[in-house]
Amino acid sequence: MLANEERYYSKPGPIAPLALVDEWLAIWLMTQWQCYKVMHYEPIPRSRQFVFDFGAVGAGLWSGSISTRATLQQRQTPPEAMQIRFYPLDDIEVMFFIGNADTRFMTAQQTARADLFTMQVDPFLHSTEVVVLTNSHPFINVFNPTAVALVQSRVQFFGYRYALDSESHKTFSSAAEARKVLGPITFASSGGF
Amino acid sequence: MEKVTSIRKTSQLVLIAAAATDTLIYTLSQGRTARIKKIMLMNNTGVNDTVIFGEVIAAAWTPRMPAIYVLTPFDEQLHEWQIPQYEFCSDIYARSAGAGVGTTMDVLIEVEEIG
Repeated sequence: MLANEERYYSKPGPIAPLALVDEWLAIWLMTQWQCYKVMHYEPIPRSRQFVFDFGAVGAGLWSGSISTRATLQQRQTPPEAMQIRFYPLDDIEVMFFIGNADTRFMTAQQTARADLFTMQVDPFLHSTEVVVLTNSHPFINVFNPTAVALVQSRVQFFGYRYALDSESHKTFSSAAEARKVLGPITFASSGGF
Repeated sequence: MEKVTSIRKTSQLVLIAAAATDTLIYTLSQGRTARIKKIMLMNNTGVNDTVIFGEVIAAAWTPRMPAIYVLTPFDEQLHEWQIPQYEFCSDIYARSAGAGVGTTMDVLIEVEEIG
């Protein structure tokens, strides 16, 4: 692999880090590209500790928006980013938000939800990949499409965690501008578009 | 078989307690269809009985399978390779000819929901 190779968000296939140590990472949040140098990163493997149970959900009902903080809370210092993929363990549909209102995976008319079928057409779950910048507070709303009440609604997360160099922080309103100033950089969307 | 996205689920254990009455066995999840993969029956009716699986279309009983004959007091089990893969587009019901209160036909099915 070439050094400083320019990578783009969420390549199809198994999860791979967006940026390596000392590389630039740009995350679209709050209508700007938030650019940081990566100081350190490590994987978060699929594990029991990163299963979040959103609790009982009645038949044909929503859980309501629930903060994922108990599982996904990040440090503020140094700032952190997370690159996560997710899938439900129970028969539920999972809607993902950055903050309490900014829905991911949407068109002008519809919002996609990850369900038990998602992994069947996308075994590596690359279509569920989201990037979360320091405590932009992901929320999840879970829908029970079945005719029976579910006593639990579990979602499994896995991916990578990045520690970012706060001194390197720069913001740009266009990707071209960021690339011109910083050179090779990976652009990843988080939310707010 | 064609490739579709699907998951296996089971019905509740349903005790059919009225003869010749549409009895709900499995309620489809939203936006999905289903094929029956396994059927378990136990005949407590005291008479040789028949069970028919079907749907209720516009309030009308619509059988989707021929009658399954269940001797008394025995059980009957059917597996995927024995069952034509009819695709139910609405909730799955069953009728028993001989069931009654206290003399039930017990039913459990496994389905593949397609979505």
